[in-house]
Amino acid sequence: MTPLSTQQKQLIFDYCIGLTSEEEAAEAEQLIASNEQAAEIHSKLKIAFGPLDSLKAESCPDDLVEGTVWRLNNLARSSQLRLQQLLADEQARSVTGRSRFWQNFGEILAAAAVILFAAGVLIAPLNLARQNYWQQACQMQLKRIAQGINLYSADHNGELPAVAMTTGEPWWKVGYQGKENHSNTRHIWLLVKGGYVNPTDFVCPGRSQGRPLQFDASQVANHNDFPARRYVTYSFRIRCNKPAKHHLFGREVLTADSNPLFESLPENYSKPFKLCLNKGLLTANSVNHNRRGQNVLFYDGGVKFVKVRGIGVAADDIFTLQNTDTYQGIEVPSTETDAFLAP
Amino acid sequence: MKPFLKKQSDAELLVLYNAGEEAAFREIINRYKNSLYAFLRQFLNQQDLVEDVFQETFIQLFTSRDSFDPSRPLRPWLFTIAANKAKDTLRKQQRTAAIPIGTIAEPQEMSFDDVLNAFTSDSTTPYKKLQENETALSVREIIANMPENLREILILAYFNKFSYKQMAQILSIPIGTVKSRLHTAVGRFAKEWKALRSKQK
Repeated sequence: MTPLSTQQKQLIFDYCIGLTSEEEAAEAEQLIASNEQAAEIHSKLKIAFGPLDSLKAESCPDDLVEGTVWRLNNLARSSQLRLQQLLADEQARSVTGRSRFWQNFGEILAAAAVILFAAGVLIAPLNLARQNYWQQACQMQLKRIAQGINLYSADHNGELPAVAMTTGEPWWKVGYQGKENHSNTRHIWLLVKGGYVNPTDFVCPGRSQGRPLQFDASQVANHNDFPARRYVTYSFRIRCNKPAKHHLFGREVLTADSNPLFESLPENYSKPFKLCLNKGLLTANSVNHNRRGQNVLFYDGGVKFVKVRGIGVAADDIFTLQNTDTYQGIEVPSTETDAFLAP
Repeated sequence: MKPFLKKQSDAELLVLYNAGEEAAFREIINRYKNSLYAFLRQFLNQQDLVEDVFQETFIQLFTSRDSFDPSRPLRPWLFTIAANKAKDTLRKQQRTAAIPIGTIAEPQEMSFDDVLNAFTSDSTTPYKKLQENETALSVREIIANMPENLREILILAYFNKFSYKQMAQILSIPIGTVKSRLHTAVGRFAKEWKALRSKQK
């Protein structure tokens, strides 16, 4: 019997530990079958590795995965906030100078000219950059809302968040905390209550009036709706009364930046609401992004910034109902093809 | 989870995530969660440390995703991060706690024949005589008490089937060192196993 070389021993070792290619494995098997020493080494190695096989790989617990995703989302969000803060600081930073600088009138004029020139050149691009940043941050928020809806749906047998509403009930009373479901944001509040979406994600960063919720978990549980309109600056789809035969499809609209028709809503819920359409309201874009357009969240989770209100082949206006000029805050679409986001 | 994400490569998922598709990162986690968790369980053997390092690994992947070379596989890169994080964690812990001296001492290198000799007299008592759970516990204990550099290579090679080249990249050592260290790790395990079996007889 020819003694095995170091390479041959290594081959058998690799074969036993599972580090050989198919060709090498075939070579090793042939060697084991034809050489007594190789067969003996193989046998010893198999016994040696045997106990290691008793260690079964443990599956990763689901809560560890969820905790990891939660930390990552927080990290991503804090990075965005930090960037936003830096931008805000940059905008707010005042320019100071030494008093001697101002002693010479000529220098004052020269400095003023430079400042005016620089301002003229820089302010517009900076403002545009800021708007673009908010637009993208808003898209991220809408995607997180979509993700929250998906998670909610997965936990509730595929059902979307919903509350019982009957025809003729007002949907404009955002912030109303009574028992009646008098708001088209009550079903969305379920996402906050259930911890599926962070409440701060409902305030578009482009909206200067928007303020993040400063609630702790126990206060969230005590509310039936967002505390007020300013805490939710998006508009949500109002379904028609007979949606049973129609299911929402991928490119149908689910949510968008706030509807320009309902920017001013009565603070007193006992007062009636009435709005008549005019030319300006028919064409205005959302206030969230300085009337430049609006981010729209589709049913498939996609988000798109659109500069016009007409969506799809039919260019259906997502902020108005077909054939309706006057709104009392109780209207619903007559068909599911008429997308209507409110308030 | 969006079904189309399952069909994407790791590199495509990272591109999608950078473009704002948050679910793409979850898909990456889902792909590697079990193998990474098993690796850390075997390497660290302490649940609280395992969970910390597991999360830190994916956070590191998130923060350095822009430096990932899409032409190379993600799995070895992820395990490189995990191995480094795990070793850092153990070092931090060692600064504050007393640990068995065998786990920090530099092991004596074993030749291939030394390794073979380590199994020789154990072949008469098959390990199957022990209850399976007891065996697993004993194996886990032996691995946990092995020196760090032997433990990691044994786990990467035997349980995760990384190639010699990938292990060399993960551990930043030459392939020759990977081979000799793996021999030593297997020999060490066999010796410890034999010693344990002798005690139990």
